[in-house]
Amino acid sequence: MLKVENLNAGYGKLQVLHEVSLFFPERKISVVIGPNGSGKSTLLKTIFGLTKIYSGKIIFENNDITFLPPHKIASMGIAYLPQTNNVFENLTVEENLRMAGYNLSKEELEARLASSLEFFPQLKLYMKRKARQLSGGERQMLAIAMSLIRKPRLMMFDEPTAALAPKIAHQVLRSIVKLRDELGITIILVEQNARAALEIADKASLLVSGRVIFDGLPKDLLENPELGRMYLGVTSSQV
Amino acid sequence: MIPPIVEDTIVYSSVLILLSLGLTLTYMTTKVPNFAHATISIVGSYVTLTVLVLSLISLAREALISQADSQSFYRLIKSFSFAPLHYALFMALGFLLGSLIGVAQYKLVLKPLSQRGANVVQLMIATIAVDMFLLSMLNIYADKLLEYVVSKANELSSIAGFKVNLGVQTRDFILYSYDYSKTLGTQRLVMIAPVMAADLLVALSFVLYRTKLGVALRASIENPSLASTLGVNVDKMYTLAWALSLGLAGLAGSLIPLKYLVNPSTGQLFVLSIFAASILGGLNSLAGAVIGGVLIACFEIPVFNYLSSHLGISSAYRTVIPLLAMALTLLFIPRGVAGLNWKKLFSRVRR
Ligand SMILES: Nc1ncnc2c1ncn2[C@@H]1O[C@H](COP(=O)(O)OP(=O)(O)O)[C@@H](O)[C@H]1O
Ligand SMILES: [Mg+2]
Repeated sequence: MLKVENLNAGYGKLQVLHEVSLFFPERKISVVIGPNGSGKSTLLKTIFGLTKIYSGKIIFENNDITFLPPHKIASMGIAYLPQTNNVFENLTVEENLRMAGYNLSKEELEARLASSLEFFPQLKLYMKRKARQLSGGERQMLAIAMSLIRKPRLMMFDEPTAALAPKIAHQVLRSIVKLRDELGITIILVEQNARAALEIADKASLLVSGRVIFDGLPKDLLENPELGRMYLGVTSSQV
Repeated sequence: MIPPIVEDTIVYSSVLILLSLGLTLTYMTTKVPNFAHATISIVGSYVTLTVLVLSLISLAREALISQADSQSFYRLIKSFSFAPLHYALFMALGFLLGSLIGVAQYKLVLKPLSQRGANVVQLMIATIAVDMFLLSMLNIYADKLLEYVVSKANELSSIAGFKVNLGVQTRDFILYSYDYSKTLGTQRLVMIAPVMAADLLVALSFVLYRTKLGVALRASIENPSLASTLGVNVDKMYTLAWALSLGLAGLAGSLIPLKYLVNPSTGQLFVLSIFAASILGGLNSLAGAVIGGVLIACFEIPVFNYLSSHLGISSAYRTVIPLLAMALTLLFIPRGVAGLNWKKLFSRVRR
């Protein structure tokens, strides 16, 4: 599905990712975890063509997308929910949702709009309101609704539950599982809330200082005494 | 009868609105103040002059073919005035040429430079370079056009048997007399300028707020990377913004010689007022640019007129007005009129 090979990338002269090689299998949830500043967001941005790539390759469904501009990558069927600034504050909720379906045909957009609003019925009350007037939680709901509008084959979520109340966070993770099971979408999930994410994951990777230090089954990561203690906040008695 | 000072204010604010609107829109996309904006609009002024020259030459040729004598020939040439088709032609061509130059400036100068990591100051200096380049091109064009007029006049003289002079200058020209309407008792521009400005404003807000393209443009301005991940070609949107903005500048410029004396360097006179209007409007709001344009026009014409007739300030000091407006805005309301909290302001005034 998506393959990243020996990726070196960063911002200008600041290299963040070092020789990152990862594989994200089709119709699976792959979770990427790691401490703050380890380059998780940078990895997603790099896949989407938003950073500077020094060397390496990104292959999506046998197409080399390494140096494609973001709008081309979007049109290939990859969607991305950024960690911050993930809604247009000066646009209304409705305009935001319509922007999210920019590449869809008119009929398809109307249909997807309706179904993604069913997911977050609260948003229906705010359709004409500017996104900047929403609360943090509502904003995140809008951002998720936006990423649900397109029917991509691959979806990348950057800490989608970070600003949400536990109950809603759980709901969001459930919906991500539903995306995999019902729509067959391949998912890359970056999470701080590592335990909950690993519970729904098919595959797990651990990124530290821009390097992959674990890549395998979630169970193995959870049971790894050293990594578990250092990066999952798991005490050895729990393991 | 509208008093001349009101006419003046109407025309000047219409032209300023069109110009500051474009300057603001380009600033919102690339975050670079475009110092070439006013000179690009003067390219539009030369479009109007060229339309006039070509029309006069074909009129003269027709008159000479029908064997006009010197007296009736000059009566005919003197009575020439722009027809609706002429206005449509020079406004459309002004828009087109302006937008072409705008796209070239964005694609060939600003984008390659910023891709190589140029900062805002470097980009700003690049726009000054573009301004100087265009200024020289306009100077060359003014000379070439004059050469053309002279050679055509000589050619026509040999057909006519008397000395033909088309009465056209390519520097320090003002086309007031070709725009006069007997029925209005004044210039047609007094009607055309505000109607154009209002129509274009309505059209622009319709595009920006009611069409998918416009929403995508606003989205690309606010958050280019998010827009691009949703499938928007941000570069195309910015190109469109530059085309639109400098198209408006070219169109406004095509109207300028109908009322003001034009030279290749006239842009340097207008640039102050355009920047003042955009800065007063907050540089990040199109509505602000419109309000800024009207305010600066009012300061520069009726307010300054009052000051100069009552305090005896020389009209040479008129350029101080936009400079002062810029300085005061940046000092006291750096985010311009659009950044003011009007609700709070009104409630404070009421109290
Ligand atoms: N836009 C940027 N420009 C420069 N450096 C950045 C930028 N974004 C992130 N960084 C740096 O890249 C490193 C990795 O950041 P990030 O990918 O956001 O980590 P994570 O998402 O794992 O917390 C950090 O050192 C951060 O300071
Ligand atoms: Mg992050």
